[in-house]
Amino acid sequence: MSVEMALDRLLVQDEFRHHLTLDHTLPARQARYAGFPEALDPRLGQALAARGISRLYTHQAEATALALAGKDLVVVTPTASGKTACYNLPVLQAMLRDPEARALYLFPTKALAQDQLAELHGLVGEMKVDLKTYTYDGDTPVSARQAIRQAGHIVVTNPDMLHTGVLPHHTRWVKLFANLRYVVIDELHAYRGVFGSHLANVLRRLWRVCAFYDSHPVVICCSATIANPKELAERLTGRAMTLVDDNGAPSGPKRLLFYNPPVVNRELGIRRSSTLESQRIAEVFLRSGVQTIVFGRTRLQVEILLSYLQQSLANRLGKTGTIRGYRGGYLPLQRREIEHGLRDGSVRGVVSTNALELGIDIGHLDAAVLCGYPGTIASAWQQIGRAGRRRGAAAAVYVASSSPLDQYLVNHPEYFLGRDPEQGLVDPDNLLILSAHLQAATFELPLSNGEPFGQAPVAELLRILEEDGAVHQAGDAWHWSADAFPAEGVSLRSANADNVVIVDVTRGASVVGEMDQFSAPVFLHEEAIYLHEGLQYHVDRLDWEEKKAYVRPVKVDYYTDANLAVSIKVLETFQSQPAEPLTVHHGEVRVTALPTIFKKIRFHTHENIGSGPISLPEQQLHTTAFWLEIPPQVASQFPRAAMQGGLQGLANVITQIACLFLMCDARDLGAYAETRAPHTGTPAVFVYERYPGGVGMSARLFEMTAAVTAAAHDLVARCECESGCPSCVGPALEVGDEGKAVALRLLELAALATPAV
Amino acid sequence: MTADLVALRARIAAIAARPTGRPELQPLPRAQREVERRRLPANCCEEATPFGPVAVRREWFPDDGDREVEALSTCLGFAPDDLRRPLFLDTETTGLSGGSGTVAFLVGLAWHEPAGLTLVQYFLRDFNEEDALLWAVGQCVRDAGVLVSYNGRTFDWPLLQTRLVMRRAEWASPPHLDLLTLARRIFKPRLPDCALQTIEQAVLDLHRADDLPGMLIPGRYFAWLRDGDPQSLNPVFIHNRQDVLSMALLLPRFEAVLRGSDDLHPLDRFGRARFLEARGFTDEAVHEYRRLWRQRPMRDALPITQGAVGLRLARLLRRQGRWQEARAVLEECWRTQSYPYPVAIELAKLLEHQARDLTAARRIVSDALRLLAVAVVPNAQWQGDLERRQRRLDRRLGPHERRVFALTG
Repeated sequence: MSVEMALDRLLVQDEFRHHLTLDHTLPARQARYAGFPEALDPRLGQALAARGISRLYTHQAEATALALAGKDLVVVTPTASGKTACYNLPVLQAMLRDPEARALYLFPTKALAQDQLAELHGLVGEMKVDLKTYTYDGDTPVSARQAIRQAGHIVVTNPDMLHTGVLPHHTRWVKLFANLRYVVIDELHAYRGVFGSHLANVLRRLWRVCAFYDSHPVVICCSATIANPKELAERLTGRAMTLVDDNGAPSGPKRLLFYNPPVVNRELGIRRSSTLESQRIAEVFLRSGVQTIVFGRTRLQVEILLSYLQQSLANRLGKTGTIRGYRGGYLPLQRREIEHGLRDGSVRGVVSTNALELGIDIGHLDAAVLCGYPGTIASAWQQIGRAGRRRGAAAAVYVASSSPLDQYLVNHPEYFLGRDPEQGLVDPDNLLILSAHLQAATFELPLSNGEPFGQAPVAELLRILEEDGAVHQAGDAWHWSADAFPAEGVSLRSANADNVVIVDVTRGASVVGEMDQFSAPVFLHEEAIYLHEGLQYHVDRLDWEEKKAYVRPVKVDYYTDANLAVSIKVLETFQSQPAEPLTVHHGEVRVTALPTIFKKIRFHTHENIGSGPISLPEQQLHTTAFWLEIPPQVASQFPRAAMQGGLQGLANVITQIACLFLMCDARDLGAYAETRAPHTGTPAVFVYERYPGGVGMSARLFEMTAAVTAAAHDLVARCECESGCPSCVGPALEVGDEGKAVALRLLELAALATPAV
Repeated sequence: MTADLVALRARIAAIAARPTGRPELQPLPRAQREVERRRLPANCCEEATPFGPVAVRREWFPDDGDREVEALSTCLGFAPDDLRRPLFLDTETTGLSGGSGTVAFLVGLAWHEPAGLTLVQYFLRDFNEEDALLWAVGQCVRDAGVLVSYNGRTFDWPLLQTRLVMRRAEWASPPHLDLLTLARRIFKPRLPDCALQTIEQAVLDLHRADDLPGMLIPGRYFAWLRDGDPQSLNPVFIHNRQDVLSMALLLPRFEAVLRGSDDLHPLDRFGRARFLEARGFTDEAVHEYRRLWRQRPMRDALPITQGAVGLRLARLLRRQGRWQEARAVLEECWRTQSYPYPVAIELAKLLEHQARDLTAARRIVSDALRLLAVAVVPNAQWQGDLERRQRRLDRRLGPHERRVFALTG
């Protein structure tokens, strides 16, 4: 009832109502059940009954049946629909029948692994059988590792540990590998981009090791809702998968609202702060007694929202202790306490980053407020999914920020309701990633002549390694012949081993973040103001040799902007498509970037208050890109000066929109515009991947040209700014007075050319 | 391996584009490779095994036939018959960090014959002869009474076990004596570290000339794989040979120390005493400590070591109920300020519980604290221990005695 009350209070305000772009009710869903599998061990049945589970939902039953029948599968279910039963049941069933059976559970983070362990322990404890489940990760004390290797039935770990701690030492894990029946990969959608491409290769090595010990485990994957779960699972595991997505879990009706804060400065396109608006909305729910979760984009935003809410509700709710914050930086014990408080209702409100989006069990809340778009539609659904119980109404409000992506999305709510969410993209055959894992694989088990490894040119790679002295052929096999340990030098999460590390000198040299080598000269040159989660840092020194940037927190009234002399050379065009009068292409490029000078620009007034040189070496990036070419007859329609700005604006908006479709971050792509592209002499706009070799985004962008250009056109056309703003093509200062108009016209042509989807 | 995609692609393209038959890039024709593989390092020959040939080097040394193992077997719990048939073992490997890709390419073994010592070194000419090598070594292991190694329990043996898993082979598992653990107990008082070469120099008076540093050994093997130069591995063989021989020479020395022969260096005797104490041979340990105590001052020993001897002796004596003796020892240590703080604590305990002289105990503790206050190097642990003892004694003393103490203290 209080949810309805809160909604009434909000909707009675004219301004709120008039700025809603969506008011939709997701209908209630009844539970759909299926029986337990026939041969379910009675001990398991009793344990489930003791936990209040006497029937299975349809998806749980289907998944269990498939797994027990030896089929690889991927289950797609929204948050908290009992997906863990989909793997715990078949695994425990197999172990009750055969105490020698073993299973490996993979989670992307240690926190999730801990969570799942608690759940497993609960079930096993109920059954009073001798099944040992352990986490094995960087925190596991050395003294415990031996015992886990010998005795653990279920080993819970993460990809990084599997990569350096388990696979290269597989002879110590004979018991596990020889009896491995199940491999569980949870949060599959987290494995995309670079991280996913690495994982796919780690799994290739895992299957090799299993084959050596003659075991053939069944793979069970769980994913959030993305457009291509089956494809992603198949690409990651290299196996054919059965998709289970018939979600039988029940839910009450959910009211979904999209709110776009009103414009307060039309010329500059500035809207009312989404942070403050989110606070206002959350307060209405909280004052009505509704248990609410507020999601912020960054840790800083979370802390700000939290203190605002605690202050303003201090009197109303008594102790402020009942509104808590939640983010990665908190200690594990604190986080457990907050999770518990949410489950038992003593914590009435929580402000969180997307840390609470992944599967951690916090029960169900009644309302969710999303302050800004979390980056992917899948994430947004997960956050929305935190609101909603089995019965009773729930509500979710998305408050748009002024970023182009947010603006596009809030004006196109059909994305949430109709269209599929993003694709999870990986490129397991990215040569740079694959070759690192090929070395690790050779160390683990010598490679036989002719043995394949993904789609790689294995023979040629081995020859190169042989020339480098890393491998040696003896008889029919290739052996590792260097004294280095190949897996150690490879980080699964960073793009490149040569990232620049950002160190805060005022806090005992603590690491604030990392940046890839290619971007570093632009953002981390000496005297740059580096922004991290809303905090400002001054770069005191950049040690290029050591790849370290030394920074110090500051509060200044300006930002820095580096001029980059960029050039792109097309090395090879993979595909082209005429889109009269424009053409679109996809292929391999070399991006060269040389930072020249930087400017200090005052906030708001945008005065140039200083500048300085940047002396850093030229960076080269060899990668894949998508580009649009504009033929001379079209280019000549626009004055030269305007063209440059228009192209830049076009590049900016397409890059932003691309993130929407590709499930990536704006930092994963680079935008570049050229009035005279070297290979054609005509204007071109490039969107390139920042990871060497690319991970498949350019190809997908090429395939989706029509949708992308249509969406970009829509965004720019609707934008109320005069000549450009950060919410569409970029600020007018950057694209010039005519920039927006030119970009819009070019997009019109593109949209006309390609058939509407 | 290049981290630059540009270069990588270029190299792949270059390889793919090469016409076949260019001699420097193609692998040698099979027959010629077989001939190449038949090459042996200097002084090695081929021996047959059920898995094909293995390269091996053999040597024999006459020795004095001393097979005495009484003390070792008693102290360590090995059956004497087993310990009379030791198999000395040391490996050279392609890396130090373990993992399934690290290979033992040279396994040095030695065992006693009636009048001498046989040394055998099995060598892995190439990776595809590992089955043969493992079989040959396995035969020796099968016949062994006790496996003797230096740091083998944490390094060599687990590595060989890994190789067995990789090649799907099995060996017997004889008892294992790791001389490093023994060396740490016994020679720690005398030597700065327990590296094999430190022990060699100090105990055997053996000084290697031009020994190849361990770090360079894997590189030599990889060079052999590529070039096959028979002389290039000599330093590796020599290094491995000396490792094995030194173990064979050390074993009787350990026996002598554990037997407690009269000519033992006092610090070695101390090591022996500590070892015996740790293994529960209390009477024997007391005997040794007492002997050292009577023959004080110990040659080459620091005062602190002298004090440590006294302390250990006193502790054991106290446990045996001979507390007056213990008291005398501790008071002497205290007087000479050898290892004063732990001694003071032990003495205070004794005075409190056995002599029942709380005042004396209190006095010792406060003197020790005064001493510690002006010590060059402060020690928080001893400070804490002494203060705790002081508080405890104060509680027990009661107000009257405390006053008396304060006046006379």
